[in-house]
Amino acid sequence: MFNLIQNEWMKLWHKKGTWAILVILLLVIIGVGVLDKVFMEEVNDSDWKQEQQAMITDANTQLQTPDLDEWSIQMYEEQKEMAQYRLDNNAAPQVNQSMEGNMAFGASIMVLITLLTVIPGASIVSQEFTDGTIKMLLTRPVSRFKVLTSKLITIFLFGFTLILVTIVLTTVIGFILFGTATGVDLTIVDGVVQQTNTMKDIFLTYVYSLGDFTMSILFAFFIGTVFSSPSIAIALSMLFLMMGPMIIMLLKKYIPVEYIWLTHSDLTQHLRKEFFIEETTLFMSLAVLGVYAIIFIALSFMTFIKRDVKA
Amino acid sequence: MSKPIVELKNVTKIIKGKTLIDNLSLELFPGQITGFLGPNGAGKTTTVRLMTGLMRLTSGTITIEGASIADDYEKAISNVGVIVENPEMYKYMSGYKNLIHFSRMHKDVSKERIDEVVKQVGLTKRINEKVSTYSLGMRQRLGLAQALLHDPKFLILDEPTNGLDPAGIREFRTYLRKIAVENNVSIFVSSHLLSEIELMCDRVAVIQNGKLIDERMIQSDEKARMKLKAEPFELVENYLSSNDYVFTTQEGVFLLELKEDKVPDLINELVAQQVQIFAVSAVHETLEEQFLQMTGGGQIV
Repeated sequence: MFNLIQNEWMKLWHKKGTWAILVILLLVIIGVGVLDKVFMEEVNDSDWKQEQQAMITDANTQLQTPDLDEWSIQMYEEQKEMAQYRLDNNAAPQVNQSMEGNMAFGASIMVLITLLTVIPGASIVSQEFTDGTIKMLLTRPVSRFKVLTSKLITIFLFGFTLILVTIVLTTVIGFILFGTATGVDLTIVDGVVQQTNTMKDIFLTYVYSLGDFTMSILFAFFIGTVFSSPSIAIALSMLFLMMGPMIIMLLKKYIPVEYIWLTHSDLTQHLRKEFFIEETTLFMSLAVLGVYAIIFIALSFMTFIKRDVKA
Repeated sequence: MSKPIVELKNVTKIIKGKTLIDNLSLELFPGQITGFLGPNGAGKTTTVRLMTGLMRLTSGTITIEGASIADDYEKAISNVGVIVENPEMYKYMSGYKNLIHFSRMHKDVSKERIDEVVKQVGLTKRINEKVSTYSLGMRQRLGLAQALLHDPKFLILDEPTNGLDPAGIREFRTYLRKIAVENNVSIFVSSHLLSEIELMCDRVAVIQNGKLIDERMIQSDEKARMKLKAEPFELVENYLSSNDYVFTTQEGVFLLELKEDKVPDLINELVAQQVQIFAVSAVHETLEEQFLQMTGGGQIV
């Protein structure tokens, strides 16, 4: 099996497209870092303190407004509380232009990483068919099951490599350009202002983003294996990845969408506590995703193992 | 004849109600080169795909060295080297990387073995260049190299000389003959070039509409025929018919069934009867003529 993965890895990196994907990712990470640096505003103590003071004043003014709705009242109250907390504790707000800020940016581009992994994921099987190399690959003393497994593992390895590159690069670039952060992020839990743990948030964003990452790759791999056409597979997977929420909104009227993987694949819903359709438990989401993951994998393997190769 | 290395028994393939291969049985032997001929769409490539496990059998069995291709695929295919139609290689990699790729899928193919095969097929100079820069002939050579990597006992070649120049074809033929004789490899060659098959093969199997319609050895001397030009015509004709020779006449020339070792006797007797002999020559029935016989004059390729 190791030999087979080695083979797939070698083939992957001999394609120009793979390097293009890496270059795109690097350009985005470096580009955003550099732009942030160029447009960075010098933050000094007095500035942010004045700002916070202004926010309190503003909130107070707004709260004077008659017939203010409940939601707005809560918002201004929280704004006031947080600003007061910063002034009392000398806690400057977090800015994008910091190492932590840049790392958080890294976590936020998991959608891009997913998108970039879906491309080779959709073509790793189908391209063997369109190139006709599949017949050279399958007339070897290696079962089709092993061949397909090695391809699936290779694609996930590729995806994880991109994630690793992103984590390392955003950290290094963030540190070089901005240095470690001085500010803190605040959140209000049960009416009490608290400092958030930025590192933990970044870590959780990465972990929860793996839902979309895994499902999109499995879906692309499945379509690529069944249709043996890279273009159809890439187009369909991109469509589902980008338009997922829209598709769910459209289907919502007709079918119970809580049993569709697209409703759950964005696991960061559970992190933000803002749900796309209605509140569900993490367990429910993982269960739905698990069932679909098994279906995608099973269908990929069944078609690949049974099919007559005519390419 | 030794034991067959490959056995096809009642092989049938039906796709969407259409019978592509119909009850085909065939045995292939070590050290023998078997040609596989048939018109386009007769089922040559389908048969090759069934033998290599690319397609599944509808019914029947195929065994290679005793291992069933359907039930014991990895064992059965480990003895087989294949080129199915054009050898499609990974164009974005060098020839050498392609061979490394395939060698990793077999057991015990050393770097030395790769170099050896590269040398054998005459690609040493260009092996580190990308396959996309190769000519069709070079790809064909690389295709042969990947098929030979693991020293297979059974070699399946689908249109192997396609794209080779005449010198290349000749070299290729000699090479196949060599590995068949020296390594006792059984070779199965499908081709549409009758003359190619005739020069290359010991035996030929003919397929038409998915059915095996004939198989025979090539250049068997059992039914040698001689062409005789002699005068006077009537005298010769009378002599031949009274002595029970099987013959026909055609434009003053006799065509008779006669083995080579009987030729001097006939000449002596005719000379004794004052017959003037202008020419005696052996008639080689070409494969093409044999085919026209087999298929009743229908189109072969």
